[in-house]
Amino acid sequence: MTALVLALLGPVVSAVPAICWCLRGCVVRFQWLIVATLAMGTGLGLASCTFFLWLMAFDRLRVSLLAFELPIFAVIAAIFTFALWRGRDPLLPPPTRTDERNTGGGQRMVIGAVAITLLFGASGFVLTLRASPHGDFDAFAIWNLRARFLHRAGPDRWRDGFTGEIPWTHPDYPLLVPGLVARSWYYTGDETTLAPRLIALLFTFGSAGLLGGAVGAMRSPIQGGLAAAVLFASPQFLNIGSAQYADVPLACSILSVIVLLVLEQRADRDRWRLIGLAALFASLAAWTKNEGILCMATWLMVQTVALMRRGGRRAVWKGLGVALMASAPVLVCLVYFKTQVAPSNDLVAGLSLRGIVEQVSDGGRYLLIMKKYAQELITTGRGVTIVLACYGLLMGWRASPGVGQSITMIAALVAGYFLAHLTSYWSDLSAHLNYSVDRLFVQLYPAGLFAFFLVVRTPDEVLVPSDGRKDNASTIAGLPKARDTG
Amino acid sequence: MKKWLALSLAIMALASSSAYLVQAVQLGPDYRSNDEISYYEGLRLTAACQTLRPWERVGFLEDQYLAGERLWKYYVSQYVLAPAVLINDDPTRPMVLVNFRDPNKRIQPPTGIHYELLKECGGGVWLYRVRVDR
Repeated sequence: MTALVLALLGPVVSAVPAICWCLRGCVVRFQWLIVATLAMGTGLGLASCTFFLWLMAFDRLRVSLLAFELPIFAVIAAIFTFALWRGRDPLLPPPTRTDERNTGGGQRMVIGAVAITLLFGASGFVLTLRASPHGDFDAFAIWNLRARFLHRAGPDRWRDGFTGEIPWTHPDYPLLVPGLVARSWYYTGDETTLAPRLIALLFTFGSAGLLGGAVGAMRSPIQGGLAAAVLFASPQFLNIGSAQYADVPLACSILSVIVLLVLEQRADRDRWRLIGLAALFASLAAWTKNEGILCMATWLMVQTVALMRRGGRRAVWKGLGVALMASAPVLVCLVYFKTQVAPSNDLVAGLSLRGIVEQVSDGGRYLLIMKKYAQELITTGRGVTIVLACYGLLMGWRASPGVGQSITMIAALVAGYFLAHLTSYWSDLSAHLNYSVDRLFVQLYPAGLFAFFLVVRTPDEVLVPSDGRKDNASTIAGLPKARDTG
Repeated sequence: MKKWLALSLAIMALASSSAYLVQAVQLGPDYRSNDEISYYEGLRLTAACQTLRPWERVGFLEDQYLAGERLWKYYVSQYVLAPAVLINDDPTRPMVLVNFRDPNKRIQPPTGIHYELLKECGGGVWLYRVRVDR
C-alpha cells in the first residue's frame, strides 16, 4: 500500500511547483484545490509517459523504472521551484479579500446539503469500487487487460500484446490508464486491484475538486459547491468512474483544458504559461483515449481564434510554439505509439470515401443520432439537464469572460462526436450509439457543468442583491467586471 | 422564490446521491461479475495459467450455452491468462484451451485435426496440443 501511494503521490508532488508557476497570480481563491487537482492530472499523466518511455528505452538502458523516473521528476520539480524562487513569488499567492456575502440561514442550509451530497456520493463511489475490484466489462476486457500485458510481459516483450489477433481489446487505444496501472504494479511488485481502483478514485474526485474549485474561484464558493454536488449526484458519472473506464480520466483532462482556457481569457499576465498548461492537458487527453485527439484539435482551434483576435498572427505563432513545447513530451509518446506500436484504429480503418459519402447523404442517420443524443441529454443523471435548464432560467444568467470559448469548445467536441457516429463503420448505427453515447456524455459532463455554473447567477447574488461592492468574479486577477443579465 | 432555488437544487442533488449510496450499500458479490472473475482468477484457470507460456497463441473453445455468456467466458479467460493470447473459436492453433461448463462433455476435433491432452485442469477445463494433418 505504501509503495502504491508513493508511486502515485511522487509525480503529483513533483508537479506542484510547475502548476504554481503556471497559475502564478491568476487564481487567488481555492488555489490549493485547483493546484492539487491540476498537479494530480499533470503528475499522473506524465508518470504514464515516463513509464512508456522507459519501456521504449529499456532495450538500450537496462535501468530500473525508479532509476529512470526519479531524475526526471526531480529535475522538473527543481526547475520550477527555482523559477518560482527566482521570480520572488510565493509558491501560492496570498489570498486577497473575498466578498462572500453572508446571507445567513439559507446559505448555511445550501452548504450543508452540498456537503452531505458530496459525502454520500463519495461514500457510494468507494463502496461501488470495493464491490468491483476488476471494474466493469471494458476495464477487464480493455484497460486492465492491457495493463496486465504490459506488466506480465515485462519491458522485453511488452509490444507483443498489441496484436491484431485480439482486435476487441482495441490495441490502438492510448496508454495513460493502462500505463499508470502497470507502472503502479511495477512498484508494488504484485497486481493489486487497489492500483486501478485508486487511479479511478483520484480522477473521479479530482474532476469534482477541479470543478468545485474553479467555479468557486471564478464565481463564488457556494456556486462551486453546488457544481461539485451536481456532478457527484450523477449516478452515470460515478458508475463509469468506478467501472475503471478511461472516460472519467478523459473528462478530467477535458475539464482541465476548458478551465485553463477560461483562466487564460481572464488573465492579464503570464498568459503563455496557461496556454502551455492547457496544451499539456490537451495532449494528455489524447494520451488517454482516441476522443482526446478531438479535444486537442478543438482546443487548438478555439485558442488560435482567441489569440488571432487578441494579438494577430504573431500571437498565434507564439502561442503555437508554447503549446508545442509544453505538449512535446506527451506528443512524442503518442506519435511513437500510434505509428510504431499500435495497429490502425478500427473506426478509421473501416472508412472508405464511397462509404462516407453514402453515410453523410443518409438523412435517417442524422435523425437517429440526434434522437439518441437528445434522449441521452434528457435522461442523463436522473433528468439533471431539465432540472438545470429550469434552474438557469429562474436564476438568470450573467455574462462571464471566457465562457464563450468554453461553450464553443464543448459544442465543437459534440460536433466531432456527431461526425464520428455519422461515419461509423458499424453496420448497426443504433447499436454503436447505444454502446457509446452515455460514455461520450460523461466525458463532457464536468466541462458542461463548469460552463453552466459559470454563467448562471450565484445564490449569493440572488439572496443578497448586489450593492455595488467588488464583484466576486474579480478574485481572478485581471478579470473585467462581469455584466449582469439576470 | 429565487431564495429557495439553490436550496432546492442542493436537495435534489442530495436525494440523488442518497439513492446512489443506498444502491451501493446493497451491492452483492455478483456485482459486475466480480464473483465469476474471482473464481476464474483463483481456481478455475490456475492450472492452465501455470502451464501456458507468455505470448503463447492459444485457440479457445467453449460449449455454447447462451450466446451472451459464450463471449463473456472468453473475455474473462483472456483477462486471467494474459499475456498468453487466446484466439476465440480457433481449433487449429498449436495449443487449444477448452473451457466447458459441463465437465463431462468432451471436445470433438474437426476432421484432420488431432488433440493430445496436455493438462486436465478440472471442472471442464482442458489444455490440448494440436496436430494438423497435412
